[in-house]
Amino acid sequence: METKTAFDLNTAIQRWRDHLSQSPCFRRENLDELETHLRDAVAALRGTTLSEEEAFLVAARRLGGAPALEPEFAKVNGQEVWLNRLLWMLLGAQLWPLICCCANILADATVMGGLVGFGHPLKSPTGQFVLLPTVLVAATAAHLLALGSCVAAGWWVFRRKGRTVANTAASVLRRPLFVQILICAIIPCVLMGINVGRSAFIMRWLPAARHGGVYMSVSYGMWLSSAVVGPALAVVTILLARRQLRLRANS
Amino acid sequence: MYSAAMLSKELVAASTVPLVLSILGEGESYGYALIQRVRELSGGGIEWTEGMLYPVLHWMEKEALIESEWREAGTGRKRKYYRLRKEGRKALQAERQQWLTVHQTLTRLWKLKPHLT
Repeated sequence: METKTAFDLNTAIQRWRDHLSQSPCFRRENLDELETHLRDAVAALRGTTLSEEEAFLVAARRLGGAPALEPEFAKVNGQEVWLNRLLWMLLGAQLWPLICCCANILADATVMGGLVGFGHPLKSPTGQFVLLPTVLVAATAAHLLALGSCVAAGWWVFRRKGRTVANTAASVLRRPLFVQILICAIIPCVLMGINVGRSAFIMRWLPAARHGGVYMSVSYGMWLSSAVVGPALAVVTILLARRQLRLRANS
Repeated sequence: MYSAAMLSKELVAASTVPLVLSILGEGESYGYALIQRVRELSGGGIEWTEGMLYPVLHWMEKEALIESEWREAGTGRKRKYYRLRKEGRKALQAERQQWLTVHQTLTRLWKLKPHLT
């Protein structure tokens, strides 16, 4: 038998509000105003023969859902909509290198570790590094596999644990700014450390790399520039995310 | 599609600002009351949607035609009241002139050629 729980107008309105607040098109003040409108409409409809629940359903239906309201509000809140898009672009621009970096580390560790572990000669008897076809194929396959699995793992986390991720991110963003910067600094530092370790490993095992001075300085230059650009982008992302969160707080 | 009972989308869009200015010219008001008032005055011919009205109000506020204030109403609920500003009064005068010109022109035309109606 079906049980019917008592209807609570405030809960219903809060749920309606939560649904609308998912969209960047509405500011908190917009939602406040729409809520008073909805409450007025419910009160007017209650005067007729409708129950509170029926009045709410009719009023909410007349007001229109997010698809009807969003395009109109997006016109006046255009800046918010674009800043929200910018936030996602920045996140994407930083997540992708992170995923690639993880995949590289995973693949390199597997291939190099495997080859060295099985006593495979990485250098020719003359001490020159030779590009062995087996190593090349193994490295390519390992890189593709690692990238695929990192993307898949990321996808799985966002699909299945999206809410947990969002809640964790929101709770981190509510802490003081320096905590976030610290957290964001730790991740690149760890990755950078692993990368330096990897280079040292390559230098040790592949003497040819030692002579590739130009190549090495280019690659160090890239690290240095990313050491400046990376944190700057991270700080912009954090500030933007904090702003968006503050705008939507209690909405 | 032309139907006599309801205003076309374009005409609703064009007449929203002068109507809001005129109603607020009578005194301050809020979104829900504005929609009710227009429905009542037009005999149901002009049916504003909330999704249309509030963004227009916010745009008018940005243009300094009107100003708003959150205030507690008699029911204990907070409401956002809108009222005209000086710029808004000027805009109302201009709108009034323009709409009267259109109105007069149409009236004369239709009086001269009654078979058109």
